[in-house]
Amino acid sequence: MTTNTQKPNRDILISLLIGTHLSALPLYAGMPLPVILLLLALSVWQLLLIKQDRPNPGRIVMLLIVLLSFITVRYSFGHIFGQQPGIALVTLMTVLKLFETRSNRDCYIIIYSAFFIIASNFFHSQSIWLIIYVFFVVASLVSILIALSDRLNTVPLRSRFKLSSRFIIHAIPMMLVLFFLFPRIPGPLWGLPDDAFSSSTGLSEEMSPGSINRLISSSAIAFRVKFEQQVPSHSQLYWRGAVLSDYDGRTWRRHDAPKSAEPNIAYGNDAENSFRYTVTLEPTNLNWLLSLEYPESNDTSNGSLQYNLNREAMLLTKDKINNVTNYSITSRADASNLALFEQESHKNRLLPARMNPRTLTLANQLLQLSAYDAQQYISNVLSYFRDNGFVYTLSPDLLGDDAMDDFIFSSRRGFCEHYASAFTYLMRAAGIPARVVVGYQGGRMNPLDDYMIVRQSDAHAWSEVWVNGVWQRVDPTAVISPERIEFGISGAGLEREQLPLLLVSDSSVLKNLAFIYDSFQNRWNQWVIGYDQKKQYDLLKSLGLENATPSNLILLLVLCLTVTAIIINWLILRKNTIDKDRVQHYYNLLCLKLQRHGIRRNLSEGPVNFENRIYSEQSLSGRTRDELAFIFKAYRSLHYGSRSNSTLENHYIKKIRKLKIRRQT
Amino acid sequence: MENTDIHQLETTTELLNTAIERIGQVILGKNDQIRLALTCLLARGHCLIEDQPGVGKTTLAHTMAQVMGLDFHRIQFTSDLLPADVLGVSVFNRELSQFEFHPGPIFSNFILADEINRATPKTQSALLEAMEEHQVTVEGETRELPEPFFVIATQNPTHQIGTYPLPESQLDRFLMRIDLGFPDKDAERKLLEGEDRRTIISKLEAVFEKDQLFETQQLAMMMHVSPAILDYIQAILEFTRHSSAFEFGLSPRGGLALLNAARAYALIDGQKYVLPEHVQRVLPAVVNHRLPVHIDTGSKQLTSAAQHIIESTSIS
Repeated sequence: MTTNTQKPNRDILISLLIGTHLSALPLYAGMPLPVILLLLALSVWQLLLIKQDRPNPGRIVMLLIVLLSFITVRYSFGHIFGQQPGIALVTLMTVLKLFETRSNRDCYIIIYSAFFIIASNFFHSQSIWLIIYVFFVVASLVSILIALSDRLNTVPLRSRFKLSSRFIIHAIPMMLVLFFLFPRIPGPLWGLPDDAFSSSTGLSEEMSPGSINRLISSSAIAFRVKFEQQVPSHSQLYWRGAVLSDYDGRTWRRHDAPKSAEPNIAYGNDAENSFRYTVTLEPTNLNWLLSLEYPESNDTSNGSLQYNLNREAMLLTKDKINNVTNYSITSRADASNLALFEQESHKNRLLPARMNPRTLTLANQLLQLSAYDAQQYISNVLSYFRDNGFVYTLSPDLLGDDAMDDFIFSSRRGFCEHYASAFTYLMRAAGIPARVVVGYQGGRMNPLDDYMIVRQSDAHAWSEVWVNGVWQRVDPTAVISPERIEFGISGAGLEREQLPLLLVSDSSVLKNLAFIYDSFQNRWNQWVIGYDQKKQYDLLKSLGLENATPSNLILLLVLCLTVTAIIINWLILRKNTIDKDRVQHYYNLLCLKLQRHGIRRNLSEGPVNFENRIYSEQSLSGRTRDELAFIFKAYRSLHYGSRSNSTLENHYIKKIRKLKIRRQT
Repeated sequence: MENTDIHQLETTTELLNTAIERIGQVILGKNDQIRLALTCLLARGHCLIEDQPGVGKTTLAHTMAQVMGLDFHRIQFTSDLLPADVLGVSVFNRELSQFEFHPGPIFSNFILADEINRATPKTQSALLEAMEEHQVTVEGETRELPEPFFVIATQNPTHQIGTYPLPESQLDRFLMRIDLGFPDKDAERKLLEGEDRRTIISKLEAVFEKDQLFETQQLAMMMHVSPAILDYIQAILEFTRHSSAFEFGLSPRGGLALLNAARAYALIDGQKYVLPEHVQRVLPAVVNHRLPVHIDTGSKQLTSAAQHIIESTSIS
């Protein structure tokens, strides 16, 4: 064939370029600038080459560009082996492949790479919007495939897209079968490199000045909570995340007790104060969960999700949370603590040496003032914060080497992490065990679906102080800005322009829209993304399949796929024949009937030739012959004749239905 | 069609078959070719016969003209034949002091253009244009040709010396190309035993009158063509355009030719509508000369373009 060796035409090349960019578009958000610039530069160059119909660059130039791509990826990511640099490389190479397209085969390679790129988007997000977008891009890619096979360009663009959309619609039942029945692997995706999910925003395991207030401007959802019965009041909603016990003068870090240590919790008996709730956590890329004080250990209803309660009452999971994760927990507000180990007590009193002398002096003064009573000392410290012009702000000043001295005596402007940090420091300076807890405070109910939304902007930090044999939660922010705790971040009197629009907007329409959108998103998370092994088994159980081992599941999957394929094919065939032409449909049936008796019509055989061949080749009984003769005659006049004749048509259909083929005896 | 039409249809078919039978008395053993030639005449196309000298090309043309009641003219094409020899010339008449047009041999109903590829391209194209337009323009004046107008052109195999083979674009203007071929044994024997062909021809009676033939042509073009047949013809066109076996596909004119030929064939066949078999029957004559076959198409040698098309296109 001559056309196959020709260079593909200009329109196809341009649509390939667009297709590649469309499939990589959502990924650009996470790609470093140099890679994006290189991609753009290559695309513009390619466009110029196509427009001016110039030949592709030579081998050496291409080699240099490939080298340049590798170097760019290597230096902008810092490494080359990993998921993100890998995808960036594939995207670059796909665009580069356009520079050496000589045949249709090269175009196919580009399209299949684009399919790969579009699938890799799911590493970053599984939202409904992405899925709608993926449908669109896949339809576009399929329409390019159609254009490639359509050598003479007989199908216009619009019908190409229509056709490819129809293909996709035909594939949807298959998709659903695969979704419901494909065996789910418990735990994270197999074999993904560590960097796969590093781009998520959220809390981290460290706290230094500025680490929380950078989250405040994000209205992204941190997690959603569905309470089974009562909902705690806003000031009770302290979602504990990480407990930070180690301080180096600037940053608070985790310093957990050994894993073997029992959780330091004494559960009460009061059922009134327990809250049962289900959290749908967005990916955090961390290996701990959030809960109210204090969770009961090992809830068995969480299926594949394994977690442990550690000494600090953090919920530690085996793997990092990289997908939207569901877990149910009971928290007991009446739980208290047992006792503190000596090491633990020591660890929570440690301060960096030779720093912040003025703070230490202040601690000393306040301690004397409180007559060495811990409880009194706490309230004195809080009063000190309240009475000395401390300001709750999103734009705190930069602090010097003696950060505490700077903050307490000169700047006095800070966000929750500053206050939690300073308060804990003052506690430790007085020899009282204290630690910082980071997590979220508050949450807003979605009235539509009766669940609570906690956003990144609800991120918070507070202190826990060991007094009177319990870890007492003290939130110094509550003193500076009581509204923060009562009404949430939007009521805290902060700089409005730094808060997310969604939180500060007075428009009730916007708020309602946001609620509607979020409850939709929530259901998506619950039913689509949250469809895990456990839900799969529950579904199969409700269908009467008790023994759902993976091999059974695969068997069922293959069975369902086959049945679906047959049904779809049947529907397509039926639609193509019966709707268009009843006469032809029954003629096809007749041919099938004859075929069962070894009489096969060649596809290129007309009705006259076929009829004559039957008589000459087969020795049929006289009656069958007569019936066939009638059927063929009727078919010819109905299918090829000028007049429609419904009596004849009905007669014809009846004859075909009743036809029995008998041979001469 | 109405009942009267059906009656008319039946008598026409009868007449046509009588005509075929009569021609068959002269051209022995070539009923298929006669049928096709008649189809060509009814479809208002022109016919090209390419074969060895002496297989009966001229006799066929002569017999057909006689039986169909048409006045017959034969133009022997030679290398020194000029367009004016075919179309006619204006000669100055001294008595009337004006130019007078002397029509050429083309002004007749039935023309045998013998050995057309011996003439120069200029003369060839003069004929071919007249065939296409059914009119000639001489010295600025356009003159209608008589109706019906039918040309049978014969062509010697092109490898013979002193020939100007017709280019593909000109071949497209012939509705059909018919190969006569040698007669089979029985027919040959009868031919040798029988009288002189010329005597038989002179004794033949016409079956049609001029006006009758014109009506029959119109009747043929009114034959019913169902959407299924149009689908089939379109599938054939599509196939020739997409298949790698052909250098280029059938032209739209080729498609129309196929349709009209199938209509005329259906009339001769005595049907009220066109069947796929009619299309298949006329296909070789209509398309073989329009579709140059790629020589390097796989290992399977194509016997003919038409055979390949029929086998590759399904009827639904």
